[in-house]
Amino acid sequence: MTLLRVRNLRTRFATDRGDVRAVNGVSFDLAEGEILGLVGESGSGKSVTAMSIMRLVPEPPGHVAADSLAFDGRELLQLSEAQMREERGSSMAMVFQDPMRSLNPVLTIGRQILEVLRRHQKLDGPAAKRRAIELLETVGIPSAEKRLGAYPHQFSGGMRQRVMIAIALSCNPRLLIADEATTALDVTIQAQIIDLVKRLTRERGTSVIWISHDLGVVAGLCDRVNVMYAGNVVESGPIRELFHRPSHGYTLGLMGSTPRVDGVGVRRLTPIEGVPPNLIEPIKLCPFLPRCRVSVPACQATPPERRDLGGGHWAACLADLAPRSVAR
Amino acid sequence: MWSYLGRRLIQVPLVLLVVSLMTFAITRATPGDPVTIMLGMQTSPEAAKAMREEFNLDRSLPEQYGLWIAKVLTGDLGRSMRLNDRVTTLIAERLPISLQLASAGMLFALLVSIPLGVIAALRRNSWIDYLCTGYTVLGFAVPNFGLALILIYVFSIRLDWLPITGIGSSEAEAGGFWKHYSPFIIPAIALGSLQTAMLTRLLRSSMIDVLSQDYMRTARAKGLLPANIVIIHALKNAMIPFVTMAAVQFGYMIGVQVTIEYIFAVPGMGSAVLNAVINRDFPVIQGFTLVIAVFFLVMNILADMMYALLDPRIRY
Repeated sequence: MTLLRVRNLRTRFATDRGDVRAVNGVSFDLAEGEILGLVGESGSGKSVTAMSIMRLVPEPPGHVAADSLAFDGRELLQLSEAQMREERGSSMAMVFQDPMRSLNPVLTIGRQILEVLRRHQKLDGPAAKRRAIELLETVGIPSAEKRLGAYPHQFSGGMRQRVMIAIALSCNPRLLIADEATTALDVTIQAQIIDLVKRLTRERGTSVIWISHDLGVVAGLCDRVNVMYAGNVVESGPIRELFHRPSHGYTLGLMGSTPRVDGVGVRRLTPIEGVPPNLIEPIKLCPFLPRCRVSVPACQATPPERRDLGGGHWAACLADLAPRSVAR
Repeated sequence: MWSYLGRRLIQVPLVLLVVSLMTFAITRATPGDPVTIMLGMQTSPEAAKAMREEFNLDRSLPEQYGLWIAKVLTGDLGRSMRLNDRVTTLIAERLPISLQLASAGMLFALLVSIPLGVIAALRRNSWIDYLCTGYTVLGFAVPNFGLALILIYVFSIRLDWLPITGIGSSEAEAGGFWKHYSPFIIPAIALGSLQTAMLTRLLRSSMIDVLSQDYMRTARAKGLLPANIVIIHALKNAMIPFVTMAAVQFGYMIGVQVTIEYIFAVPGMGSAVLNAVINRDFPVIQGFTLVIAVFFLVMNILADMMYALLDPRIRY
């Protein structure tokens, strides 16, 4: 059952120098209970995709358009702002990158949890408080009852991110979007948070969009990955498929620049040379072409089409990379 | 918190000592002899001598200061040379009026700056924001006595809506609510114009800063209502510098309402100090300055306390 259907999502931002096409034709489906990874470098449009789905892109200067952006069968772009507010925090929730700055410094943790319960579940008084304590315990915060009156600065980074997760899951959302949710944390805490999200969302059948530039995190958590470059999905597939058979020049480059600790081969890390394209200029050919190490002559002539590789795996790449991936 | 308050309170007498020394030095260094001003040029040498002795003006400067400060410590600020009243009595009469006028001025500043600052920040670069910026520039540029004269011309003389004088007069005190408080309106607006501009600008910029913070995005992602987001999540943060500034400015207003009190014939602290300076009424100048300094210090300490109260991250 498809929970979220995105078709040809286009988000642009008006600037003095022209429109920046931050997201330029993204399409994907998210099944119920599925954990989808969104990877790519900074500026590839991962966060803007998420913000567009939540309809949190400030308009103006932003503008979001899509052939379809359907959540649970409802077209989100046709909802009014007031209708959208009913969904946000309730059926769709979001966890952000920096837990240091994502919580309001002058409000207690308790208040920041309770306000969501009050807003969406009409819970108030002792019942709401019980629920808040329960939520904090679920995300593994010790002596939760006492901590309700504490302020964010009295928590460590990992604890704050747990609070953020508790807030996000407070109304049992059907979709959880985590935008670089573990990037600001150190690795041991990262692992704990990932386990927590995995456990809680599996238990509840929550669909997750996990945004990260860290391939390792995505590999350990997600069912499927979308690799994004220059505002578009360039390769998509089930996690195993994609990691065993990266079929886009950019995915290959991304993997080549990521250290591996599983001991498969000892090799140098190769950075991707150059910079991503300017998203103000229209892009006609493959956006990755100027930086691609595996381009073929055909790349100079035609833009790449989606090439189906079987098993739900596809790539928008003209080069045939199958043999290379075996070598890796 | 309490130890910080203790440390701050210890500083108070030190600051007051410096203030009293400076006031003393300035009054004595200013040309003009109070006795001559008070008794006139044609007075007999005996009368002049008697007055000098009464106010210790025949003693050396260190002695004069020492005698004065010793009395101050017992709560006695001396007598006015001109009015023959005790300085403490004068303060008791005039301080409440000044406090009322300063409160009215601050109330006006708050009533205008809070909504204006918030709306300007929310509607950045809109006509209302430009209006707000224009208004604050005027508030900074137009001196309060200039504004006072314009307001008097328009609202008292042309439209005849508001009285010009009457603060503290027996007629106003005896009258009803409007009779009592209407004389405050024009002076309060004139007095508070600078603070209005200052506070509007401060709130606008701190709101803009707060609105761009990550926790505001979190608040929107929670689906909270816009009024809740602005008032609870944004304003509570933006108010931290605002409240501190307002408290400090309130202390400041008590001391600087001289011109306003003069224009509107307000029998407050400012006009009393002004008259005392003109007449070289040393005990009044020194006593009033000291009280204004105390008030200013108290407001500053209060501002710091509020800072800690509003921002849980601050612990002294």
